[in-house]
Amino acid sequence: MDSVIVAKGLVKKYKKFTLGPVDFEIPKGFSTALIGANGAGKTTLLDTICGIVAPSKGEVTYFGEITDIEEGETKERIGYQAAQGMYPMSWTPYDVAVANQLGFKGFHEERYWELCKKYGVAERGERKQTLMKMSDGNRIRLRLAAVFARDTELLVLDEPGSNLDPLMRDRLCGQFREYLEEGDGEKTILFSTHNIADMENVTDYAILMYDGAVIESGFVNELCERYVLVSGERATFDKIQRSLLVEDRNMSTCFGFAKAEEKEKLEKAGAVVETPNLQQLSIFLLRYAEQQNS
Amino acid sequence: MRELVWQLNMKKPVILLLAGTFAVILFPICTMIGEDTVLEAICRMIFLTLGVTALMLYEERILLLRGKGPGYTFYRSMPHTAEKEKRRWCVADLFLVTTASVWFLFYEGLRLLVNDCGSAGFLYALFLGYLLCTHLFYRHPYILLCVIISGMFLLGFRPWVSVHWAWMLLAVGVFVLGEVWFYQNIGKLWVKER
Amino acid sequence: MKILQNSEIPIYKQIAMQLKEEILSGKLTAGEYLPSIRGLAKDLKISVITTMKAYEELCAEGLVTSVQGKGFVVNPQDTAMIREQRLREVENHLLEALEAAKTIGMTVEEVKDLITVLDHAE
Repeated sequence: MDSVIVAKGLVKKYKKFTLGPVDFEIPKGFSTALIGANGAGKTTLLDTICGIVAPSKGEVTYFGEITDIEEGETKERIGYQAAQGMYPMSWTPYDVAVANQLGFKGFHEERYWELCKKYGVAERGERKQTLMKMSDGNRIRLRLAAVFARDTELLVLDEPGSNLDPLMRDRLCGQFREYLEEGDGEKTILFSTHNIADMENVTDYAILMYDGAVIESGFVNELCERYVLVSGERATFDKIQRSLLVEDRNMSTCFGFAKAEEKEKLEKAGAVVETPNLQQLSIFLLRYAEQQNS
Repeated sequence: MRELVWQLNMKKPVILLLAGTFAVILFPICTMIGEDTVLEAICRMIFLTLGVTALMLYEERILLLRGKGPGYTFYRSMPHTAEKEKRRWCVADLFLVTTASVWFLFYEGLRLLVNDCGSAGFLYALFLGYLLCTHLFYRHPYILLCVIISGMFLLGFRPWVSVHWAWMLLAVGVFVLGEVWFYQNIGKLWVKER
Repeated sequence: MKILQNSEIPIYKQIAMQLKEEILSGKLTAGEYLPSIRGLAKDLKISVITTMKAYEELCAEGLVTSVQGKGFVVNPQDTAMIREQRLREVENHLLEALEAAKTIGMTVEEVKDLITVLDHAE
């Protein structure tokens, strides 16, 4: 499978936080979710690969051949949207249109205003309402309208689903699928989220992060099959404790999380096991990472 | 107009070159107009404004390159010339703007000191006060730098009231309004956020 | 296509089963292309990887073939083989029914009678 981004030994050092070294790939033609708790380094990772900040160490290869994001039209091909501070707060939807028009060749103003209208954020040519006066949700809508109005091959969206109402989030998922279909295997999405439940049915590949490191990554189906959710009586759990990565003990029943290799052993001991969904997997893996850390 | 300024700011650092050249060439002409006249004072302030604007423009570019300040993310997500190229432009900008401004302010201050001129000097002091307020408002270190350098040269200067009161007030009014308009309409695209 | 979002059967299985049905019943004929994986994902409001997995399952069963850059094409179906496959399905279902019958002490004769009754009712 082709990768649109390959990162090797990527490090970004800040005074109080260090990302990496991380290695990962983003498969071409799919939607990849970057999952992690707040402060796990999702934004730093996205900013580093999009050339918003320079990496301290490591190498990123774009579209299979380019190693410098400033080279030629690489940034033209990437549609990046930050979670915060993308545009100055004094800008209006009109300013955003002007800026994008000047900044990118592949920006379609007509499409931008249509999307603004569709998302209910602004009427054509809005020059009065500044971003400062907009709600968080509307700011995200505006940013999404701006990025979907461009011709891109890779979308990198930081927290696109947070602060959106359920209806708009559903619309966003629809927009994702439309983008992927348009590309027919040539267009890729990378987005970060700390709430995967609403985005699970647009996630093909997942990268899980904890405290500046990638703890797990892979195609969702394969990823989920690497682990099992375990449920059983207290007595059973006493026996299988050593096979479990994470456990939750209650009076009437116990839950746990283990590697898929342990499946037979767990079943033999009397526990029931099933394959987790991405949401469950994320929670348990992050809990496991936290446990290891403390 | 806004598009033009935006484009010039984003894509053509040449504007700095033009602003600097403009100030350097026209300054001597201003001194030829005559000494201690309101016209001369206005001319000086135009050049001072140009100098400060250029400094702010430069500061904004530095902020963008360093990746600081609100809205920088958008600029940095855009295709640019290579980083090295950008840095070179910045060094050129810095050299040009600093040289022009410092020389300009130094010369201006010296002239006032030597000539002990009334109305123009008072107007100039007012303008510096205004710049100081602007600095407090926008917290722009470069504006403060301008104020400090100019203020130093003004220390030995005793302003007194002259016959050109009405003219002075009119000129100051026009300048303040002009500056406000500038920040509101054009400048806001690249002036640092409050 | 019908999709149950909260069913116990995984969505990719539901898709694979329905497409298989369409192929075996001749609704989808040999040489026809399946909808593109990303197009189907969009229509069904599911992730691309899910439709892909469904198609891969059909591939593994030899019902369709992946054509580089074009998608998935329906293979010519061997009628004798289809019959064979169907027969195996019937066998499996009957075996299940017999197992269930045993648990409540039904004899084979009784099961046969039940089948006759059910056939008439249908």
